[in-house]
Amino acid sequence: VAEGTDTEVEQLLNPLAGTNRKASDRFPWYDSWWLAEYVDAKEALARELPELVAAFDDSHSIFRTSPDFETQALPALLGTGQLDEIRSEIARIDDASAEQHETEPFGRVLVHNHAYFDAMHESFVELVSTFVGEPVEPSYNFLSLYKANAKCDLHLDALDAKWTLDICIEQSDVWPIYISNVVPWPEDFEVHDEWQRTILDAPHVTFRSYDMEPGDALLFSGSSQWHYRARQPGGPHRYCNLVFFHFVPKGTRNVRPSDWGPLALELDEPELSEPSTSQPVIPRPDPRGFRRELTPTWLASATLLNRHLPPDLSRPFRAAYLGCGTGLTPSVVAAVHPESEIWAWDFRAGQLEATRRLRDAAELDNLLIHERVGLPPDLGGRVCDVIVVAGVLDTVCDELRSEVLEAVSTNLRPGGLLCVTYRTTVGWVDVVPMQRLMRYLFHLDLGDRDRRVDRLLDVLAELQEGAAGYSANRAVVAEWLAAEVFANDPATVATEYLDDEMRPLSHAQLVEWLEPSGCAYVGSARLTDDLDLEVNDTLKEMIDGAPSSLVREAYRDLAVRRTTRADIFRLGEAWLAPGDHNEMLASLKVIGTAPAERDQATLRMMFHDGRAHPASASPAVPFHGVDALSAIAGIHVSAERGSAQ
Amino acid sequence: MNTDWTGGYVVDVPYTEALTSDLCPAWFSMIAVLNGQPPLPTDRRLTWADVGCGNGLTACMVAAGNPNVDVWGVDFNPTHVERARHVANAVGIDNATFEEASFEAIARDDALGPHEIDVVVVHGVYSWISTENQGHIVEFIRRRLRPGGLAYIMYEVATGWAGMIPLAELLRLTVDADRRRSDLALADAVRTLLELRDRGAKYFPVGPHETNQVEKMSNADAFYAAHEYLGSHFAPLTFDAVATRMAGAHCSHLGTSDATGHMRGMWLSPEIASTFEHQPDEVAREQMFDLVVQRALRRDIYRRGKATVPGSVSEGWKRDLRLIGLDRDFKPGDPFKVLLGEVRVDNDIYEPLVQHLRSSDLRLSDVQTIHPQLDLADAYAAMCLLADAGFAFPISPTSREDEAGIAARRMNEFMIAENRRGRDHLALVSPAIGSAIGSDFIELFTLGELWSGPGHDLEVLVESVLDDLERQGRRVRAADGSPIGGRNEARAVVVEAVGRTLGRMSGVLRRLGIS
Repeated sequence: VAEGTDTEVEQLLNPLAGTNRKASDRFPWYDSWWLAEYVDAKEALARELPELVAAFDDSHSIFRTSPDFETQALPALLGTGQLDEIRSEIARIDDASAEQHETEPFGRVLVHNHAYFDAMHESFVELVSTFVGEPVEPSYNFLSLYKANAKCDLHLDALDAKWTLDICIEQSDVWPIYISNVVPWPEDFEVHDEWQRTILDAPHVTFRSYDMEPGDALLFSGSSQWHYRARQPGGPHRYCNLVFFHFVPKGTRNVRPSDWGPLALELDEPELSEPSTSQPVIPRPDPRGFRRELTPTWLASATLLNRHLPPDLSRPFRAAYLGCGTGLTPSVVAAVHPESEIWAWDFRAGQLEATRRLRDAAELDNLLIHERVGLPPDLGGRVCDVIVVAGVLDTVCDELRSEVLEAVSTNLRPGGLLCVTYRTTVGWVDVVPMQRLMRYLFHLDLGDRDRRVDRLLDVLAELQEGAAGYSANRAVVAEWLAAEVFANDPATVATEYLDDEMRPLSHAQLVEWLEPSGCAYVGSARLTDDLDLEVNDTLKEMIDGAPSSLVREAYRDLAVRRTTRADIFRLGEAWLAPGDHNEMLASLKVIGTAPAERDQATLRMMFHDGRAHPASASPAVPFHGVDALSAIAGIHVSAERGSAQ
Repeated sequence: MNTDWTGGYVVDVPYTEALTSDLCPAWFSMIAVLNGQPPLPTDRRLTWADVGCGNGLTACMVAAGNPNVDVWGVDFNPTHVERARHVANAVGIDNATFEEASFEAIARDDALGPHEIDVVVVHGVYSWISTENQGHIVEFIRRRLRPGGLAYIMYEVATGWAGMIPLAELLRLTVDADRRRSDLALADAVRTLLELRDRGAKYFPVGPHETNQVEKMSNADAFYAAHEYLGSHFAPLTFDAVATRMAGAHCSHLGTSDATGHMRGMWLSPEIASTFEHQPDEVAREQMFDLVVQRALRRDIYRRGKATVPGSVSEGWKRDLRLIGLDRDFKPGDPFKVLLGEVRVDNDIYEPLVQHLRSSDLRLSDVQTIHPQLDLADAYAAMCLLADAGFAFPISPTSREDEAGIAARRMNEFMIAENRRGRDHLALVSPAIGSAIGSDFIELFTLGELWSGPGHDLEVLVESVLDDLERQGRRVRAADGSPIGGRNEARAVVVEAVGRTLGRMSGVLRRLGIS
């Protein structure tokens, strides 16, 4: 039975008290998105692969909390000196860092994963492990600055907050928190107007209130213990500053619904592979398939064709994939170059997990995965012969972009090659305003992801039917909407186009960013891009007469409305003398990969088709030992070509 | 040592010197009241900051036309600040000061500029600068804008400009490779761009607004075009990006400075209008609206804190609005031209109102007397539309003709004198509105002659104006815009135009406090 006063309980139950954006339709409390995902996934499995339901359930047992666990009150965990230091840190936080997205209904501003608290977070690992009876690791932390009239509605936390250390920093008045005993996850919850009352009155749920003073801490299992704070009494001077440190069982930090992609790969169950609705939705610029133009052999050959000295790949080399996708390309490279060292990194945990599974299954000991999600690797100096940055720089925020560029600068050896793939401004700039509206509407909406996508598509359809100007006057946008948005299922639309950070780039921007690293442009990894096969003679004349390399590439992109680029750079320029170039070209071998009857290939691009006569072939290199990967990935990996198809 | 102080901005040629007439207290008050918020205070002096003030002409216009306003202009380009100070000194404006400082400096150094500001104006700047500098401007607003103060931010919008991004980059890359001064190299770069289009580059056609911009590039003012397209941070924005940032400065979107920018009924078909009605979120509505109208430019006004205003008080403010007529002809059936496009209006409503403006000011009570069927909101909206379409201008509630009249006259004489030396100031500052109206060379030179001393008859005036035009190589143009060759042929046009000016001097120019 709730211990709050009647008024507090009434305030808590007030249906007009606000909505929770992180709630799901099915489970109407804050942070319930994970439970909705979990139950959806179980139902999908029950439908398609019922024999796996028990295993799936078991895989989450580590997140369930023992019913015996009791909330731990840790009075005066922080001393006066430490509190003063924290208050100084809080005073230094500028407005720009403070997140405003929970001013309603919580009445608080947040600062997530501040460097100061990150350090403190680590320091509590041992203490929390001891009290909860299992080894833990930090998941995330946040500073919560509650203002007057703040409240925190009844809820269970998500799985990445299995354990919560809640510390009071300072407050205008004591503000009790109500925490229940440990309960099973309410998978069969029935939504109705009085749902909060039902929980508060449930016979098996017992709440206890805790008063905290500055320095006091509480340790509880937020994902298995209901908790709430009633609305603070009014008055402009009321406030309460709390820090929440969340922990998960050691080794499980990445086991979340958003990271079920690898599981989906294994089970061939697409419904599991969709990212969580409340996590940032990241598109997958890389197709799941293998990309031969991103292999070192191919890149070296393209470099040679452009008259630059390629790296020597006849000896063991080191290649890094920053943005490894599902890991197929680096896995193939690792398989066909067993003496070489191949690194894989991604800013998406799910992609790393997929790569890891592929590597383990194929026993690719030379495929090394950089485990720090979100932090590009330093591989120990300028040791990489090839770095591939695929589908990253047009997707990440400025800060991560700088870190990726820094990783390139730190790791690429002189003479090494860098390949960057990205969506171009020329191809995508008209789509961006439409996509921004879509993203805004998507994140504004509440509830189930697919329904949110459906609703925003309804709005777009209404705008189109009313002959709304923008798409009606831009064929590219209309075509994109028809082919890529309205024709796709909601899951694909969400995955591909509702990310927060899609920012197409231009070649000139990329060159400017890379200039400090000393990387010079070599040419396109797609060999036909530089042959200008799709442009007429008068445009070709302009391209050939361009006053600079940057202008030439701008002409090329505008001439064909290029949607994506795959640019190769070399650290340090090394033009080959004609004699050397001819000699090296003569030693280049290619092998046919297209059926003999095909003398013309169609280059399919998103917004137009171009026809060309490319050499449908891959460069050939002698390697062996790739059968396992061929079997696992369902592709043919050629020992002779150092590639796959 | 890093010697680049430009922040990617064009500095080898100065910005244009146009006056932007709606950047004045009376206009901002009209828009605030239209959106249910209080007008700017009139019972004390106001502080006005023009951030990125360029050559300072608009800031000087505000200062000259509004003696109760203290204007502070700031720009990072010393050439601009030197020019702004020269104008202020030459005109004898003592309520405007100009400072050379970067956006970062004004965001961080509270010693620079006024501490509490009533209005911050950011015009022709925001979508041309880096995101860091945009952040500095917002931080400046956060630290300095007074509660209840207004912030005006003009920026290019992706829904009408996005297609220009790759083209602007091409121009910049081509000019970079050229190495001549920006305005000179730009002309050739534009020719190359048009050639690319004409030779069949698949990037074309671009959207309608962008197509229009590409067409106009060849004849655009080279100084303007250099600043528009050659900065390395040219990036049209979307409403949500700016609104989100301004929320961090505790500012809420109040409306757009073009009154018709909000009157959605004018622009939306009934089918689409219902979609808007069902969208409760203002930011989403604004973005949807921008897509529908393919908006190329936003001139947003934000307010630090939204006031809760009782209906009776708001009605009083609406009744306080007085419009002065600008003597513009009303042609029945012709659409009104406003920032977003053309608006078809009801002749029966607007013709009598324009007629009324020819002889006297227009108040809300006048509108309701002429059209008793219009309720308060519709009558006020009609007044705003008249202002937006250039038929009228709100009268400054603090106008003091003696003081402002002297300063305005000095500024007008200064601009006319500069026109005689080859500059292009096609405006006249009015103390009645605390702003400026558009003019032309013949009117300006006529006024210059008349103000230089008594005793001019029509013939002398005409010859004098013809002399002025000839000295600067300016061609007289016929009504259809075609240039007129010889002096004798030009004389007929000038006679008519001088006669018209003389008529305006006893009419609209007198009412505006100009003559």
